[in-house]
Amino acid sequence: MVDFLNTSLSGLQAAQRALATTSNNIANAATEGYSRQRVDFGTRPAQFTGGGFLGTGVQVNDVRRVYDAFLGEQVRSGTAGEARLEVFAELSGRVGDMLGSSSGGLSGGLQSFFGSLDSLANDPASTPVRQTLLGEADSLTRRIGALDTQLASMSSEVSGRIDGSVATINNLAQAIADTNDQISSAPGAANGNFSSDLLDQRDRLLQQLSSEIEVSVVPAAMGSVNVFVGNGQTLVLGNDTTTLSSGAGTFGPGVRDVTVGGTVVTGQLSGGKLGGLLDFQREVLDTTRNDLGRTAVALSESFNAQHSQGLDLAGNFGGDFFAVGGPSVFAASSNSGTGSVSASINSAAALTGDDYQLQFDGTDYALVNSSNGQSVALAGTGTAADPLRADGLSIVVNGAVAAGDRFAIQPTRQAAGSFTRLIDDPAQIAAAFPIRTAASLDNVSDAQVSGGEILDADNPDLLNPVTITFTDPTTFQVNGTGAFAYTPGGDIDLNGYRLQITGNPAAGDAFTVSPNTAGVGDNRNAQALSGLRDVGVLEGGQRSLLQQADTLLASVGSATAAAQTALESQTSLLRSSEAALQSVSGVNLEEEAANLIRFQQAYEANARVIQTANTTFQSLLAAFR
Amino acid sequence: MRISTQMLFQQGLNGMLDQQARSAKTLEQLATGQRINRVSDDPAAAARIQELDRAVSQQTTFLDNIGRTRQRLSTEEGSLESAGTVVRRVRELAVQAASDTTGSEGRRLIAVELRQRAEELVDIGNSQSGEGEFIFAGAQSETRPFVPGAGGIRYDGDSVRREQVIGPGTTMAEGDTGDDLFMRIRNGDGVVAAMSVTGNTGTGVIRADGSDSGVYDGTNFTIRFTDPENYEIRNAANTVVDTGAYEPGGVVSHNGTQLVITGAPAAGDEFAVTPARYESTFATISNLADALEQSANNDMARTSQRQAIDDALAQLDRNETRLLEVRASVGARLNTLDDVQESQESLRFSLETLVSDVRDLNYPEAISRLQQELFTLQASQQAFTRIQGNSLFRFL
Repeated sequence: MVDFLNTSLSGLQAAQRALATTSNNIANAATEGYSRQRVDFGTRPAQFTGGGFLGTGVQVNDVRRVYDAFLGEQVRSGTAGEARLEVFAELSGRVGDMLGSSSGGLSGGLQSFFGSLDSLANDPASTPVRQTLLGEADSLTRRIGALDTQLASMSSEVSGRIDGSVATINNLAQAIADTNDQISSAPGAANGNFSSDLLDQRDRLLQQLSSEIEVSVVPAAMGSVNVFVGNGQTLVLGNDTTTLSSGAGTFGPGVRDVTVGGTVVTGQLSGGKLGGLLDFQREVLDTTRNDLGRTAVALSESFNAQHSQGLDLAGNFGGDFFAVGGPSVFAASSNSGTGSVSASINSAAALTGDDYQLQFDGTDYALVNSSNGQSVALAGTGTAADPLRADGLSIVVNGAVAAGDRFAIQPTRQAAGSFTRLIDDPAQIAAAFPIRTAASLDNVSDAQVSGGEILDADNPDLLNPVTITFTDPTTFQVNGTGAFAYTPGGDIDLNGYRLQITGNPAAGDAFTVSPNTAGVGDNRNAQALSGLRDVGVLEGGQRSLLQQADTLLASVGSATAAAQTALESQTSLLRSSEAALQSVSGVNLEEEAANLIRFQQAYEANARVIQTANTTFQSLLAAFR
Repeated sequence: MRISTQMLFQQGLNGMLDQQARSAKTLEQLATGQRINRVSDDPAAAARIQELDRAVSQQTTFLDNIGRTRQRLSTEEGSLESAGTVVRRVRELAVQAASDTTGSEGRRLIAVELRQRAEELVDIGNSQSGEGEFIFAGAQSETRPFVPGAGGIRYDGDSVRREQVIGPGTTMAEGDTGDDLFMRIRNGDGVVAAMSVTGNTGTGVIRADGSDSGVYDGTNFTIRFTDPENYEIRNAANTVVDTGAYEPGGVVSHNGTQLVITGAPAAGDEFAVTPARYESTFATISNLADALEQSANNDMARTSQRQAIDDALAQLDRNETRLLEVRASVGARLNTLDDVQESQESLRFSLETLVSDVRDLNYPEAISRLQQELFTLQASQQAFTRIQGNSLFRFL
């Protein structure tokens, strides 16, 4: 017998549950990660009476959260992308601001330095001008040093942030594993009923994790999820976690790595803050620092070479003007041999700005470019007399190297940090050309001699005085010996220099080449030094120092610009994914207000039915009174 | 589409925050007057600005060098003018000495002035610039170029002319060297020099005039008078290669040379013809003074004094020509500098305009942008409060 009192009581209870759920929704309207819940009503089983089936009321089938796992996945991947780009754009923007600053940037420093060389060319004998050049050289070395220091401190900042991010990831992974455990061990889990709040909590944790690193989330048994990073390295498997760690890698503290359970995954992690930090370090920070060092090496190499050709105020050859740091070599901790490797730079123009790994397979050496993984052809055998040579590097192997041994080589990473000026005395600046030529005042003809150009500044006889005397109009002697045929305008190569005589010399005409002693007013070497501004000294002679400064800024700038643009679109993408998820899961207060009214009315209606039942019952009682 | 309350709130808030960030940036631009305040504002344009900034600074260097070069050329021009005045005065003195009305005492007095003028010319040759450099010494700019020595004034400088960079790949000599100005002046007629051989007894005087350097083969030869009316020409091997009849003032041509003999040569008199050699201005003046100081009390002495004066006059003409040539070249260089400066300045201006276009702010655009941004912000704020104030709960 159907009791409509019971039926309406079930309606009353259902309305109560619905009101409770609505109030929970309203209460959590502002809770982050809360998914709205709704009550699923169902009819109670009907009872068969002779006349048919009679309904017995309503029951609450389920209180479930409204959630779309696919949209949740989109939000997570959007979060990972946005977090990566945000970190990347912020950090590379800082590098760009550093390089492009007019007071501390590379271009401005080079420009002032070359400007002071122009002043020297204007007034080569002036001590104040020479002093200014030394000051500008100092300020250039300081600028480059300061940029390097800033980049180095950014590098340690990034390392610190990587450590922090790794710690956060480990904590979140642990929390996700714990939540997995709670979800699967909660009552009802076996029936597929999971706590909405725990699910929400885990989704929140997964999203936080996504902002640290891109993860892939795979549902598993009993409501738990497995989380993978990189190329499928396990982070969370049910209730278990694998620890991510960062720190000194195979090549020691100089080359840091991130590992998962002992496997190096530095190059495989992507997305999130950690991905952004690693990408920034690899794509911007390390390359910028290498390129800054490369610029210092090229400046130092070309400037020293030209400066050594000239004569200073005392008539001595100018020595090295700048000093710069050499390559760093790190041996792998796994090396079994006792040998060591030392590297030096033999040509700045051939340097690439990349890092390398030298590998030994027992018989042969192989050099691999760490930036693109390609192997580089090596010349030489590795001895001091015949070093291994590739990409502007000379590599000497000392001692016994075992098969499988590896060495990381950073050619110019540390170069800029030890870029210094060597010349202290303004008089030691070599502004003058080493030799001067003249036609003798006793000459009969008007034949002229060119000023000469230096072919080999190291020729020991370069400064020996030479007299070229014509024995007849087509033959000349050098220092009274020999008989050389004369071609007007033809090259005459002597003692490391080349000159030309033009015109029609007569017998007895003499031309002298003498050391440019006391040539304090000569600016030819100063001009050659200043001309280095536009000489290609990098990238196989294709790129000048100033172009290098521009390229550095432009490459950092374009990386930043690309990240900024991508960040904008990623942000709007994320916002729309969030909106889509919110549109499914978010609480709408209007809706809840309407529900409140609806369920209140349902409650009232059921209560009225109970009253009716009561009245009916009273009527029945009254019949017997 | 279903909208969650939180999303509605967040969207409104995001809109306002974005607007605020945008107008803050515009405000910063207005405060600094620059569209790009740091590299990260517009990384692509920053690299371009850096390049343009440098180009502007390079132009400034060129303009500095142009100014410097002009100043030094002007200094040189002053010295050249003084030198020209001296050489002209010396020439006047030589003409005066050549006059028959000038007696031997007069010539001695002239010689005294000539020596003073020579010293004056040495001082001009040793001119120093404002920076204390000897402007005619070549590279050895701190070495006094013209110093008295055993054989007269010696040149201690060199032939290195300092070049200044006045434009991309363009250099200009900012001076000239003393050897060009005063030391490398050809004697004779510039091709050959002819002189009486010591021991001539006649009064014949020879000078070279208008020889053709293209024909002359550079060998020495001698004109020997067999008698006062006839001469023969002997080559370096002392072989007679030509003969002729003497005609006072007539031209003797041989081997591309043009030689004029005047006066009355005696039989056996010889005139030697050699390729022209360099003779310094100082030597010319000194030789002239030496000749004027000789007492000319016989025909022979008068003849040789006469020849010395003639030689000196020809030589002084070439000296003057040389100075004029150098002055003309200095003037031409100054003119070129003006042209180059003009083009460099206009280039710098256009570069500066370009930098300004890329970096500087367009104020009207920025102000109207700011206005629009503030208007939009206000609108979003109003919309936000309206929407947030509108809730079904208010009617419950």
